[in-house]
Amino acid sequence: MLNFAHGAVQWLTSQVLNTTIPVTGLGFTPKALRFYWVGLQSNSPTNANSQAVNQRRGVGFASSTTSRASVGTTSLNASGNSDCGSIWSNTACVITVSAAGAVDGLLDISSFDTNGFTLIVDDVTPQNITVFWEAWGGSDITDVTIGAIAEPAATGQVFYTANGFSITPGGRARDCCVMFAGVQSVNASGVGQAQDSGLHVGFAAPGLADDLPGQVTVCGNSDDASGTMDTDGYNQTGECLSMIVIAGGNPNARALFNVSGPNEFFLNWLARATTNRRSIYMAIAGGQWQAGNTTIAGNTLNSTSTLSALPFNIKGISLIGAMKTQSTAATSTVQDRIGFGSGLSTTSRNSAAVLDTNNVGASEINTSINYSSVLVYPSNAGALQTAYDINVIGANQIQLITDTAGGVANEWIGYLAFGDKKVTAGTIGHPFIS
Amino acid sequence: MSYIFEHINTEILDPEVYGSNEEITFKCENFLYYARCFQGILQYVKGEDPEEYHNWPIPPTEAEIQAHEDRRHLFNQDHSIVQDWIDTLI
Repeated sequence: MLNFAHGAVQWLTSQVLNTTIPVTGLGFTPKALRFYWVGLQSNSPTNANSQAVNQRRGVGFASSTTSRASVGTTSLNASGNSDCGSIWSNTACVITVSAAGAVDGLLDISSFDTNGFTLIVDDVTPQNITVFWEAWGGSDITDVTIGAIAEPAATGQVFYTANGFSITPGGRARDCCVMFAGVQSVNASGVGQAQDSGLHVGFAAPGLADDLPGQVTVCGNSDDASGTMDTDGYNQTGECLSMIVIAGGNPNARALFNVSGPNEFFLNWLARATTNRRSIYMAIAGGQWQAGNTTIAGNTLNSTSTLSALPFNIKGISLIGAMKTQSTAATSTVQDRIGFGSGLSTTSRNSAAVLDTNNVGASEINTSINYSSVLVYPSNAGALQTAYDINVIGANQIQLITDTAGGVANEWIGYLAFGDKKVTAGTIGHPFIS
Repeated sequence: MSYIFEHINTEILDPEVYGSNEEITFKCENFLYYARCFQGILQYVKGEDPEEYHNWPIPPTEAEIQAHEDRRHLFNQDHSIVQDWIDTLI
């Protein structure tokens, strides 16, 4: 059995140090948590769009009160010159950073509970932020490993710990996934940098339908201290990690994922440039996972995109995107725009996105959070630009639909789908059916 | 095109934590830049905020700001320009 739940917590400036934020009602004890945020806050079920808050975005992971990691960036809104910061931590699951490079907000895990989990404020947030969470549990998940990645000094293979990962005798990796995120900072945990706001997010899973691992990455960056806003992005299938060059331009870090043997995976670094630039990962052993991308006509109302014949009974999906077609390999496109989403039914979905607008005189940070879409993007005027929903979710398929047609044709959406092993139909009581 | 680099100082940053990192501050065309190196190999170049022009209070012209930004991009996309200069310091 694999369990999945998702939701949001409201992290408010009024919550003083050591305030606890309990999350209940999951119906199971989580084993792995993933968090994402963009800097905007709105209570569920009220959707919101804005061009009035600073970008404070990031991704975090947690598997226990002592095993967690997070990355965070900031890009100030309405700043004459771009003003950005970057940080990562292995002692918090949610983190924010000032443009001067100082940590200025922390959430940590207080406890994993029978029916949920509890967060605790370790540093009061500088602005109200909705933090979305995804939780996985159940007996299928056997191990969760959270780790840090320092960009290597040379290209080629580097191996990372992933407890419980295995290769079958036929040489095929099974039943596992890795989630990635990273920033521009090269500093130690908890020590930020006044640096470009680059953030990457990725998924990888060996897949069950073929031997090639599925993997997707999206990243975006704003060039710190630029007189005219200089923002870029990159989104690619077949890579799990990417990062834009500092000062803007094409990605100069790119990596491929594969499982190499028991209790480890490797990244094949196709490109690297900044030694010790930091990423984090959460590797989950057990469960059924598939990573890849789909495309949708984001500019046509009610157009659909279907992931069918998934080799498991789907329990939910996590999405990433940039409201762009797929990038040419190793080549960025303008606009730092990243969208996050998660869903488990046609009525249970969350999403958030941030656009740091390119080529404007003063910075324009546009944010959206949405409780009725599985993926959403703001316009460059701080309004809703486009939204996608779950139209159908069945035993082994999921269909997305364009609910607000402000996107682009052939729009790229990266996904991580997950679920239970298929159970062969049969008669209860049959000697081979339990 | 060639650039004239004026070396300001070299500061070793917390080598126990970061390994062998160096940050070299240099001036080029009256803007400050910070070259972060790892064991002598350039990792990236950060540029001074154009509002903090080194000749302050004489403000930079728009053309100088644009040239500064173009230079920052160039230094980060082609490390050899600054790396060759750093190599002469060692």
